[in-house]
Amino acid sequence: MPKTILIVDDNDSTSSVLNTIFSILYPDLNVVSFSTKTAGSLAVEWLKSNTTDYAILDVAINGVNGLDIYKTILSDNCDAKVIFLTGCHDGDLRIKKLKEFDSSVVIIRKVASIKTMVSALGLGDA
Amino acid sequence: MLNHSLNEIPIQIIYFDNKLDSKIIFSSVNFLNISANCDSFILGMCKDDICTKVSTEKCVAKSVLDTGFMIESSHIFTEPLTGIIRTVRRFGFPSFDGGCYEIRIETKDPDVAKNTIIEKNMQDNFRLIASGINHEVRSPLQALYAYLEMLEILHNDKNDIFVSMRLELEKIVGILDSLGKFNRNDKSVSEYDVFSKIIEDTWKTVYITLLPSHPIVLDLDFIVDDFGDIVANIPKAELQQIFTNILRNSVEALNKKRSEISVKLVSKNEEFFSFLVRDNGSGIPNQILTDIFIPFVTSKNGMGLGLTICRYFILSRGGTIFVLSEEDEFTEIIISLPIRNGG
Repeated sequence: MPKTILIVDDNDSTSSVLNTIFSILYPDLNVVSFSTKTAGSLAVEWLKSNTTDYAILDVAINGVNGLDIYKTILSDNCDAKVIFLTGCHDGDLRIKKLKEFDSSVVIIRKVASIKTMVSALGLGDA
Repeated sequence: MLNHSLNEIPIQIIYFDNKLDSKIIFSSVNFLNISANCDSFILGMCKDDICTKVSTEKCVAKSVLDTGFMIESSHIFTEPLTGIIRTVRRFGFPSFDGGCYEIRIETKDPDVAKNTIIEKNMQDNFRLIASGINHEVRSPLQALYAYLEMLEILHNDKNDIFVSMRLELEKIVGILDSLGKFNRNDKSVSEYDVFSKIIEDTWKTVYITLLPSHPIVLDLDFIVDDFGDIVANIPKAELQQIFTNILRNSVEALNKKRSEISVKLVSKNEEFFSFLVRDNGSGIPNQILTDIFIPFVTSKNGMGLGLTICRYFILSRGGTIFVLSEEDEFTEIIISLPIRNGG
């Protein structure tokens, strides 16, 4: 069964281009992305009937945010490898809350290379 | 940290005339009329272009070496000002036959005090805008960066165009990183350290970072006074950032065979200490000296945010910063910081 990577970012372009790149680099990977302003709630809705092995999540999404999605992912698959890709700085309240929930969480500051994301997810060479 | 009551403002005056002893009388220049041994004074701005500048725009730091005076103020004086002297604190600096006074006054003019508050609000607003821009721009930039990576993958090629695009994008990220420095890292604001250790550690980092591009640091004399056990009342991370910016500027300005950067203690009392960072480099061009703390003003290839960040951190912690410079001769950054209790 192919593994799945979930990409959630309320910036359409970011989500779209990451989807394309991961699809090219890892053709065996099932790439799912959400990218509207309500991307968070759409992702949580999707997770009700699906699980994911990897995830790249934006932190600051209106409504259902990255932390909410993270909790939903972990409830189904506690082995999922998740990274947060964010424009927020370290002092941001949302980052603090995230670290309070899980101090080992991987947070990558935008702008980051694909190589950095791949490495953090442990996906291995394409 | 200084807490100014509504009508109390600090004014700093640097003068270069050692004839002035117990009395501070500047009446001879018709720029400032003040006497330290009386309890009131009149401050007037009425001379040449200095007055015009001071009275028409926010005056951050003015170097007026030709007249022998410099005044630092975040206030706009359009009329002569009358007030009561609260404290007079003297600190000299060794490179001139003169000294520096901080005169804290209680003005009867609430508008002046209001300007102090406006200045603070402007700083806070700038920080908020910088933070907002930083966050919002990173997302589309991330997309651009990823698109570029995709092109590189598809073309399996790192041609010059891709390299140039990547460099330009990284410059934008650099600007955002600089703007991000206006946001204090909450985790680090409670960490303080001995002043001299912070200088040493920061210099090591700056040295290593700049060595490849500025081999002049190999022959550089870096001289630091003994600051004893002084602990400045400013978080370590902010002080490191201040020194990084200042020392980088100094190194980048060096152009002489016998290059030197020195950090000298100017004065110290129970509440404050003052020091200067001097380099004998190319100096700051006169045309930008008066605007040197304004964001994006620079004579180099950098972002022009370094000294703006320094000033922001220093003023927000109750300190002051001045710049003196003479082209092809030297630059001096004179900083006064509050001392941390027990430090």
